Amino acid sequence: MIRLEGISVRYGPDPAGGLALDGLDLVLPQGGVAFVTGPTGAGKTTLLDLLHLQVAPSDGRAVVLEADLATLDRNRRAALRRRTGRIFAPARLLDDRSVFDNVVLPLLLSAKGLARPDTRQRADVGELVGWLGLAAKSTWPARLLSQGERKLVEVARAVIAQPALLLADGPTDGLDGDRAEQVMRLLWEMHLLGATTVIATNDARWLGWKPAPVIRLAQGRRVDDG
Amino acid sequence: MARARSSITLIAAMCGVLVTAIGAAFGAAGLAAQWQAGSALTVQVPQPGMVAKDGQTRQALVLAALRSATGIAAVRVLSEGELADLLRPWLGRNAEKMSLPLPAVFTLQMASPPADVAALARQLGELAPGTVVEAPAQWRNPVLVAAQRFRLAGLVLVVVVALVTVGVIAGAATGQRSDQVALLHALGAPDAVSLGRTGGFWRALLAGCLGTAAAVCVLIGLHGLLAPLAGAAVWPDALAAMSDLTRIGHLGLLDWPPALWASVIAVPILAAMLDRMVARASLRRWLRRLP
Repeated sequence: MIRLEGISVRYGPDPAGGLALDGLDLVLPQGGVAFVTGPTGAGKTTLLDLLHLQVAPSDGRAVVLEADLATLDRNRRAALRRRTGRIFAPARLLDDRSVFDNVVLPLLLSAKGLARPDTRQRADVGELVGWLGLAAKSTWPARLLSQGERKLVEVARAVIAQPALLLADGPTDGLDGDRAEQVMRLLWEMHLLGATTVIATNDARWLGWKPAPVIRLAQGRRVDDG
Repeated sequence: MARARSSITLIAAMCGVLVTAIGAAFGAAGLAAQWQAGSALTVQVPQPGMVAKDGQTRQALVLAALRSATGIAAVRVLSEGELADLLRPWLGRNAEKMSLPLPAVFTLQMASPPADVAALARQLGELAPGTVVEAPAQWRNPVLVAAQRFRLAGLVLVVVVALVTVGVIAGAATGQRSDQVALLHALGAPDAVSLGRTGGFWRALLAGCLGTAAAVCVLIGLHGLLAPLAGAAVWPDALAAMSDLTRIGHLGLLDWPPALWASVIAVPILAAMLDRMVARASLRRWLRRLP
């Protein structure tokens, strides 16, 4: 579950400016899904960063996956991130590592460190990478991929561990129509499997694509009816 | 990637400068020690084989006079090979084969109290006219001071280069690796895992080895320049034989003290370790500031 109450996020020291989120309220039940949209600078990425514990709220109360963010220590924050799948805009990968290494990473991370992939994990990653059309490039370093391919690798990385929370920022950016639909279907499948899913996009064709609430942001505030 | 290259280049340059400075410091120390231990007086006897008195050669007469003189602890005659070494900077490698009318050269260690140099010069001049008595201490002492200061400058340079490099590596490490460390942090990696990907040890080691190799080339060149100033090149026969076989000796490498060799080996390894430690410390500090 996600519950935000009067959340503000301020960048920089100036109390009068740099307000990326301004008194935002949001409730999303466990396993729920929502689209977030709004013009550039509306606060979409900041909202996802907040839910991903990448930025701390300046004001308000935030509960993510039943955890009050104000009460979490460093280890529990890391644990919460491991339960979250994130698609960044633009894509962020370990550029010197292979496609396989990037995708398998969430399966290997734990509080104890980084494990070695077992046979089943290798098979799962191989299947997902193949389904996304990247089987031939599974051993390529990520730095050699196109922008669209990087996005696909990130999608695979975000869903491979079946996260409890899935945060997708521009998940179809740079993808052609078929690939974009394939990715959106995959994200929807994750939602149906129980992941609380938040998808930020400015692509209008997805906003009415499935029955899901659309959160509209402008200058850090909600401007939709919710 | 460009910043990574600049950091690697810096490590190579640091190793090159460090090894050069250490080698130069060793060289200055060695020269100073050799000059300090050198003769207090030098006596040159021209036409040493000419018979002068009582059927004795001029060289024998001077040698006998020196050995019987008071205030002289030791007398040594330079061999033809040593003379050739002294002349090599001016006459080249064929100095021994040129059949030049070379003087006999004696080096003297003075006793305490020392001999009266002026009286000694007069006595030797009467026995073998044209004999020259020189006191190298007149020019040696300032050179010794210069060598000691050169060594000190080398050590200061080592410290300065190390400090500057630490500062640059710390800044570069955060710039180069922060994206990847931040991504791992965002994926929920424990800090130890995120920092474990700072990497770069082997690349830094390779760069350090390349810089050190360049410095070794510089030191070989310096050895060639400074060897004549160190006096006769005195290699044990076995080493000389080996040097002829391997040609290593001609580069002066066999003359290097073990401590210098240890430095050559240790500097790139220490530089790579330093790079890793500084980078990790810098990234750890940066990582702790992330939410």
